[in-house]
Amino acid sequence: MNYGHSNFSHLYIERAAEKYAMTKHLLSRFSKAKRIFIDNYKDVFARPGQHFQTQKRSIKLILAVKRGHLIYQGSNNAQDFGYSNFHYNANILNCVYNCDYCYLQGMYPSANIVVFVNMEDYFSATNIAINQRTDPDAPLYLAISYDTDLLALESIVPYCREWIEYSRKKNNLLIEIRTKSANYRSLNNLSPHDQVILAWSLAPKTVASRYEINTPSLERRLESASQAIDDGWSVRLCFDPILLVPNWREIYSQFVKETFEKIPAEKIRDISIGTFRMNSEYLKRIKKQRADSDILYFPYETTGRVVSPSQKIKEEINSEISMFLESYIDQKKIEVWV
Amino acid sequence: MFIIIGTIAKVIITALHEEARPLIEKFGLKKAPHIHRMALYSRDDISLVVSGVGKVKSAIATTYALANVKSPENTIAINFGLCGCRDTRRPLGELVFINKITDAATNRDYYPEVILKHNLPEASLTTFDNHVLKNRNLIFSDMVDMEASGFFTASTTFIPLENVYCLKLISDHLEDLKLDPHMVREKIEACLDTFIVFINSGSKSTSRTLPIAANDASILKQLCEVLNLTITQQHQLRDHAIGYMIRHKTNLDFLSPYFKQEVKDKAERSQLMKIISHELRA
Ligand code: SF4
Repeated sequence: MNYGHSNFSHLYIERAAEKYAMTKHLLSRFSKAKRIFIDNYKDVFARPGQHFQTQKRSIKLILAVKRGHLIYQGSNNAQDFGYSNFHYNANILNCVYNCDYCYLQGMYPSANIVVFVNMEDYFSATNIAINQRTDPDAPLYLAISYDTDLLALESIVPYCREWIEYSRKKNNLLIEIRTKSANYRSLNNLSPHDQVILAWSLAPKTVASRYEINTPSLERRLESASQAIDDGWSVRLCFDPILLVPNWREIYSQFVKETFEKIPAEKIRDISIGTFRMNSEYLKRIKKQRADSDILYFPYETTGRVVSPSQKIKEEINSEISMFLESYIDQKKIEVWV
Repeated sequence: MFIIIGTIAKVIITALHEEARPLIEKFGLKKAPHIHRMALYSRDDISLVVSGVGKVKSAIATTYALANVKSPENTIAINFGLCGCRDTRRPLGELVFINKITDAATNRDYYPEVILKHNLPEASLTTFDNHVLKNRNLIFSDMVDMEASGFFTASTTFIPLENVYCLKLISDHLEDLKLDPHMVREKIEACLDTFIVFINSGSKSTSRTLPIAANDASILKQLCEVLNLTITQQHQLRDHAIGYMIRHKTNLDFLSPYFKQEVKDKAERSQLMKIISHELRA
């Protein structure tokens, strides 16, 4: 029995956020939700003593105005696909899903979702970043679904749509929308353009059902990706993180096979693969709160501030998975996180 | 007839005896005989402390009640009492769940978790150091009281945030009324069943599981002592052990024989650590 409120039963609203269109939209979308007015989102989001997994039982929305930095240079734990001007932003903090291996559990003090409502400021910051990009020969590469799953929230907060329309008018901008959702339908009335990459993170059925809590099934994700391809979008597949589960070879080779039974390999833009990796401080914080997922307690190695399987294991996994993939797709289209 | 369910410790803090009395009678609480400085009543897993008026007294009483609880994860604390209400449309006697507490003196806001599903109306509340009467214009929250901020800061020091609740009963609309004990009793009695339903849901929904069960933690502790492990090795052992328990859905009892093993020197200790780590990585 669930003794928790449903998700989004409460909205915390920064007073400064009240006047924004997105706030008004969300207030009417959740007209029955209790409203709690706050001065600064951090008063709720960063208050001491919160328990991430407990809050996942009933996620609240926090509506806020983002001040300060609105766009960041790419982190070392993310793939840049060879794009020299790799940036990301955080329109939304946190995610409706609850993957065991998600670093957000260690990065944020709260599982509640913060929606920054001042979109125009994000667009202005992006305009500046485009103009000031270090490599003028390459576009600004902007990952907009970075510390969240933006498409999973699209039916509530239609930000993907806004970014897609914004980027349509921009030269020198390439945006990546990474997702585990099966929510492509909420975009399917937009006409595709090549400044957007829709990237689906995929995992074998057994891995997804055990470690990617609340996410859509592999089948539904593949259907979504396949429709996007049919409609003419540029689609990336991300097999990341590949987890070292028992029988991983059989499981992942079967998974690759299943994927390309549903997805025409020749129409894929590229594929990224990578093993589990996480900032060591985040993992430490997560382990203080939970001891229910073996994936968090694997004997990883720490290099610098990053934990991951040993180099030997990583190489073995990456080379085997690449091998499986190469029977479907050109090696040049496979980006391996090492 | 509603009854309070067991296993989870419930700690209730009220400011006044008038607020406490109907609860003491309903739950059959008995005054703790040897405690004179604090009005503590208890029975089984319910205890109640009458703090006196004001946030400092409330914080002291809460600290007294919670500082030594055996299992903080399995304890809920409730500040129950009367409050004034700014909005005259809200009925007297209504029991409300407080979702935001402001301390008027420091202007700090506190946000109780609102994870537990309940059917009570919700409201914000400001804790003042003095009685608030006509100065409505200075009040930005729905309710006013004199204890909640003290209770909240103290209780969240000792037990998980989501186990701390503040339930207030509207006693007046900020009029200068003298407290009528009969009226108080009547109003509290009228909301007791709702109060009990709330406590029962709170008791069922306590959330945090300890990362590691007490018995397994004690096995690991003894092993660390026998093996004289460094802090880093202790963390490694703990990680291996938790990974093992999750994978095999079992406990660590099989490690008990290793305590009895005699280890003479460093070489034997590292040998034993290797064997144990190997077993745990299976
Ligand atoms: S989908 Fe991504 S952001 Fe969301 S919980 Fe999973 S790993 Fe985290």
